[in-house]
Amino acid sequence: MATRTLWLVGLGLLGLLAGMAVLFNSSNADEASTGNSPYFSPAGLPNAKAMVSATQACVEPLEVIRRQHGQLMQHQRDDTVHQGIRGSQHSLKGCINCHVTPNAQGQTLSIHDDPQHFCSVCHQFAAVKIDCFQCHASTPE
Amino acid sequence: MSETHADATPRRQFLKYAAGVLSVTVAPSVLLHTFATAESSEPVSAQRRWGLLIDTSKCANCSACVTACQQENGLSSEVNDTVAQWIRKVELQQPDTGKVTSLPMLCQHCQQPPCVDVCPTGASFQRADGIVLVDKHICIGCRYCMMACPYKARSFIHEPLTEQKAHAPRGKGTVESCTLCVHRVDAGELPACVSACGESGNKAMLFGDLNDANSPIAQRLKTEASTALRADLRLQPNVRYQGI
Repeated sequence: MATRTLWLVGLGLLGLLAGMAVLFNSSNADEASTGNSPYFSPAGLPNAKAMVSATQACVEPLEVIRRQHGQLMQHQRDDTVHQGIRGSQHSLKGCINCHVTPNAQGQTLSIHDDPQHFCSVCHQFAAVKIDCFQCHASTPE
Repeated sequence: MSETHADATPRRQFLKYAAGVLSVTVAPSVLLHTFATAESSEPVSAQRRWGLLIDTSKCANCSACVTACQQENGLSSEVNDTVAQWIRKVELQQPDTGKVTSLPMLCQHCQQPPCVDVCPTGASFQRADGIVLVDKHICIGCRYCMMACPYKARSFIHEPLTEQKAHAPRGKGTVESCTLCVHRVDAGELPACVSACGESGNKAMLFGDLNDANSPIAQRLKTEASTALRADLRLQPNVRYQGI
């Protein structure tokens, strides 16, 4: 009876260790791909053409841009439309110009034709329907 | 000897005259450029009021402005009942004398815009520098502004659009009109119609700052006669015409 309990405890410990190892590995992989970000990053995202600086990939840290790009763009949009403030970094045009890159066939397709379009990959995953591109261009100038 | 002397004098006069004309045509765009690029990240201010002066005596059978507008803003060039027109050529005939005048008709960018007065959502608005625009993020497509505009300057988009220009977002269910090429003006350039009229048209359009007393447009308005269309409505348009 005692040996059986020992066996069970031993098996339990092994399982626990294996689980921790898997968790540790996956969190490591996440950190490697998203730069210390705890947020989910879908695989197969097109890469932006260039880093903003040596340490920063986008105009804001990735945590900020992932959570708040909607608010940032909306704020910039009102400033631009109503007050003519241009050249700030949070414009939709800026996102498109930097992030929308040619696909494997070398074509730059609009969001309506390309399911792998930079904007549509995450929004499809998160089931968010955006209407930006009923009016705005979804390909770089 | 006397022959060459007699030839030289008018040529010298011509050169002087040409230099004068050149400086008048080149200077405004250069000035405009230095002004606006320095302040593009600043909010526009009421210190400037953009205006347009159209000399109908120079305007003739030419539609360079219309074509340039369509190309610049990604408008369709086909003609049908519902196509969006930001600028169109109109012919006026004097009923008494039969005199025909051809002129470009566009949003008059009124200082007292009726489209802004009637807009229920605040989508139709006037920028501090006098340009009247539609914020299509707020527009619900009710078309009150189209009813209110005495110049029929606005168009409604009935069908889904594709291939819009990055600087001119346009879409179904919203009202739109001439933006005075606000993206170009903010970058210190001339509106597309004005630069096309100067390059391939009849040089009938003059664009500039009405609040700057030294600008060519303010100088000309001060010294020459000009008309506001439907002046009886007292909308004080920033677009004015000569020769009608």
